[in-house]
Amino acid sequence: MIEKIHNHQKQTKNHIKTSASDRFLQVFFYIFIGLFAVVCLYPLLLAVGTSFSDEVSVTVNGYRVIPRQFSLEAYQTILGSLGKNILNAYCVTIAVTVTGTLLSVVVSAAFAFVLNVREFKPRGALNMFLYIPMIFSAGLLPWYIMCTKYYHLTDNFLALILPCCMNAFNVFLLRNFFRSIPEELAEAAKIDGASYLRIFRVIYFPLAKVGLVTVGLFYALSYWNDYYLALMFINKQQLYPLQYYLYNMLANVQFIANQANASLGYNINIPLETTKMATICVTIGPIILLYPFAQKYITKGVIVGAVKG
Amino acid sequence: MKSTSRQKQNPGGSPRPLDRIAGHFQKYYQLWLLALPGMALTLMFAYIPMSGLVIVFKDYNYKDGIFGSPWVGFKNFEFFFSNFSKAWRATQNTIILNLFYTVFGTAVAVMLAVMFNEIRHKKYLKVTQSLSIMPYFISWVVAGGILRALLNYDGGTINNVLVSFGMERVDFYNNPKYWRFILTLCNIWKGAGYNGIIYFSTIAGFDTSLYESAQVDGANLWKRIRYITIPLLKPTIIIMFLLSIGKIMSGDLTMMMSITNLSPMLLETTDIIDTYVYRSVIGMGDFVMGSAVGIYQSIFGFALVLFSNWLVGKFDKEYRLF
Amino acid sequence: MKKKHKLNKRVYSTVLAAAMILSGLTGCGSDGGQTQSQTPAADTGGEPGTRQETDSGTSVSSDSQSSSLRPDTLDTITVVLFGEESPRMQELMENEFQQVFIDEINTKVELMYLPWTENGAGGKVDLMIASGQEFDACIVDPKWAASSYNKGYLQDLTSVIDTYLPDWHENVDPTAFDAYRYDGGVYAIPIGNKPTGGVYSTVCVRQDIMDAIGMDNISTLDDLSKYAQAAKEQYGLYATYELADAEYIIRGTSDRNLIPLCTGIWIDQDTKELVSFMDSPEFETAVRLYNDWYQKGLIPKDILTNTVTLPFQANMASFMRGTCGTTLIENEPGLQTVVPEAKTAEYYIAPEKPIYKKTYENTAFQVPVTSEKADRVAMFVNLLQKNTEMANLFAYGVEGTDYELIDGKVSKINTEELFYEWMIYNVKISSPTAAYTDEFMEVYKTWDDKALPSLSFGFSIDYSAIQTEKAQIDSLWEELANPMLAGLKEFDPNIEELKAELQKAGWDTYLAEIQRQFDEFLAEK
Repeated sequence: MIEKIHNHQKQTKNHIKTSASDRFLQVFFYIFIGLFAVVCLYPLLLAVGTSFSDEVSVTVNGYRVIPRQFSLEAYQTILGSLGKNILNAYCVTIAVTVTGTLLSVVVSAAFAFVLNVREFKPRGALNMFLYIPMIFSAGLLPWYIMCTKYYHLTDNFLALILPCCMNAFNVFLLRNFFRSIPEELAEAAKIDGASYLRIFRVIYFPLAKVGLVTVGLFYALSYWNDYYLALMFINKQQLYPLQYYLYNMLANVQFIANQANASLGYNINIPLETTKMATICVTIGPIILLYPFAQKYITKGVIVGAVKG
Repeated sequence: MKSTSRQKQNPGGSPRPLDRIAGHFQKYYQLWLLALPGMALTLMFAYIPMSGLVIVFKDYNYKDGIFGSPWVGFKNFEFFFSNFSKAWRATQNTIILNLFYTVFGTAVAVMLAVMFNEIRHKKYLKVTQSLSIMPYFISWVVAGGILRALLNYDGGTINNVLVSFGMERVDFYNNPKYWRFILTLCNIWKGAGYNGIIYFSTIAGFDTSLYESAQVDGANLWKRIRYITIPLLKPTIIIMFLLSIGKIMSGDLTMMMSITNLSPMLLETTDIIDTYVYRSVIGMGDFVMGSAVGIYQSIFGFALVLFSNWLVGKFDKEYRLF
Repeated sequence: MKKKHKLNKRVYSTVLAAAMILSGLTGCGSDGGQTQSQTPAADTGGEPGTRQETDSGTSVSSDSQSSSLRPDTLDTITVVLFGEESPRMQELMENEFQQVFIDEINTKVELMYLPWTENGAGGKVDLMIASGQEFDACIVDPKWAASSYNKGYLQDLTSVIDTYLPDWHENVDPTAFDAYRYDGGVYAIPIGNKPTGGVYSTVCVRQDIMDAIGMDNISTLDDLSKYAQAAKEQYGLYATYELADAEYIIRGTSDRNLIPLCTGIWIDQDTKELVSFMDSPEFETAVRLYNDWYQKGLIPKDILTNTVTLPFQANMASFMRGTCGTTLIENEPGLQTVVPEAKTAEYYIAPEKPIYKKTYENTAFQVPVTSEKADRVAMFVNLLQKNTEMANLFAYGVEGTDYELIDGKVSKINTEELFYEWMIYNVKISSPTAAYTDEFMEVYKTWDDKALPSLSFGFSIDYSAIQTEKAQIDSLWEELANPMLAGLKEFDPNIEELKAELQKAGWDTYLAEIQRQFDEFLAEK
């Protein structure tokens, strides 16, 4: 009895001791992360500040967090070029992001699941099949010819989704997440006579929630940021995503600013730098909300709970 | 149909492998079904267009098309390899920079993930983690402008600070020796938060009971990180490493252009393969020569991946990529 | 067959779903395919008819020559432009503009806008041609056209330019074709008409600074040095962000008349020889001058990395190259937003030397080989340059609604971009905007009168035989010559390396091949 109590006291003592050093480490973590966040925030503040500045003062004084000469011209340029299309552009982008992400996650997860079935012999070949395109790319011209001439993706909504629907990196990432799911679960299900489809649907898909959310986030970000597919395949204005509008507008402003030979009085008042910064603010807004949302699902203990349950 | 008639004609000849294949599909057709959409997409957008790669051995012209254009052998590679010292320098720079990016980038990303995992205040975590992925959204063009504001000889923030401490100004933009370091920092700044998510969510998937029992055993925070978290992260780190090894020969042209403006004064350390190709063929708008060098990058990268994959397999087969 | 029966229902449904998805995909695809394949069929059907109509149309002709060209059948052409289609442009293309196109040339014009990044070789336009996507015209510049010609993308327009450009020939200088002439054929139709004599041979300086330091003229490099030094001392301005191979600098370095041709090669206008720039005394003089400036702190250390688009306008540099007397409208308004009292002026270094017109800078319309409507495109370009009325209409819009004419000058009511002003602007027919003062217009209109055509005018190099050499020389030139031309590296310790490296890269082959092509070109001329 006495010994036990003694032991217990020792333990608590020990516990307090360790938490002192733990606390020190934790404080260090808090500070380090805070500093890193500031390093990441500062350029963003510069971008916001500059986007609200007058172009001339930016050219002469450089970027500033607090604008020297307040101006909304950059946003006027953006709104001017988007005009009534801004809603449509946001809608296209959101539609692409949502459908694309869902489709990508399902397709990738299915593929990653197959890569993870131990007794499935061809999985080695499938791994290779998936990996090779990560290194060898077809080159622009053949890819473009296939997409336009044979798949007829021009002015097709699917053109904004299909070509980047399967991202090998994300599939490998998912495969890795699936691996952390205890195999006994699948084995047990198999003994109960569950088919592979069922194992995938009932065990892997729900249990790898963290992985699916993470990969979904990555897919969403890439769909959200993409302008290239629109540049290649979309000519109809109704199908322009937001990023493509902005890309086009920036190229336009850049062209006008560079075109000194125009003899038409173009000058440094063309809001080039400020517009660049403003486009960041316009596109980053909605997506900034996505991460905290996704973060909710990246929490601990999902798997453990499931195993015990 | 064909196969059945064959079977009838020579009984005992080839049914075995056929049966085996049939058996395989009978057992695994669901897996094939699951893999089908992914395989179809990969075939459509990667493998089929890849046949067009023959273009690099051709003198491409519109009239004859990709397959009809005359063969020219390795002529499209010539411009790259004929000046061996520059090609070698570009190759070296690419590999060194990519190694720096991978090694230090991974280190910082893992560090961030581990630290994020120990943050107990939900709000603090949310805010800092969201902020850490912000640079991912800032294009290199804008990042280059911001960097210029920091490093400029006159008026740059860093030089102003140096002067206020009574030190000499540093002419960053005309001194190649600083740039491996600067570029690595930029790369970490842009990608660490984003890549950190991968490790962070991997840690989230770990069995919490391991930590609980370790804590009961009196392992302090440092030990728990050192002996539980890091070893458990190892497979993910290795996968990420293997994935990036394949790209060790390819660089980011946009990044280099935006950050160094391809200044000839800095080429000694910043001229990577992509910039070398760009500087050489820009005047001609020739995408065939660019693709030719792309093949060189890919083959080298692929060989390296096969080697590292084999090496990893020596230690633990489960860590292999394929 | 038996095995299939074993499949359970779920699998059937999955297969069905997959099949549906696939058929859905191909369904959409084949739809697009049909519409695409229909269009060319219709075109080819209409095409011969159009030609006949226009040929026989001459006899039926009514009042003017151009309306006689008007084909009897309505057809549509797709024209690729860059940038953004402004809302007003959209409106006009649906109404007034389209009506004019139909009335005048019986052609519907459809515009397709691409980002400016695609303007040039290797962009989406090239991809579209290479993959056989239909469009009929796109704006182009000489450099891009040369590259496209070598790839076989462009259509020979020689046969259409005589017939379908009646008004164009009145208003545009036909030497403009020279910039798009390859192997005797013409491959693009230029548009617009602006002076280009001595372009980049002048230097723009700050007249207010000149006045303050008591200088009244700049005609030599010594003058320029003196001015730059004073501007640095009294106003803290760097000299320039341009390299030493700027034409106005080289103009002042010797008595020879050199005009740049391509990387590392200049042309001596008098001896008709190609000059290897790195071996020339002009190169040495220019590099020494810049290095001297650099030592004196006149050259900014970030000369090779700064990305400010117009440092002269931003009051960061005291001079820059000029273009054909346009500094008053190009630089001054911008500069005055930073320094209100600033005035600028443009000078020729070595004013006694001749002025050369070396290229036709203006834009042109290319017609891809895939198009069958070159005649319609020619009519379209002709219309844009037909007369003052048309040129003003397409550049400024409808008079009264989009702009007003005050004393013969255009005062805009609507500032949205229509057809590019800089493209359409023709000094012979267009009304100038209010920014163009009368005194400016007087100089501007006669600017080209004293210019001689350069020997290289209309000469374009076919690099296909020296691709490897060219690629290497370009990258080496940039790496080794540019730091010298920026003044950052001294002449003596570096010139040998530059020469040796370029020799190794095949300089002699490169020079000889271009010399051969140039001789051929001169002989034909």
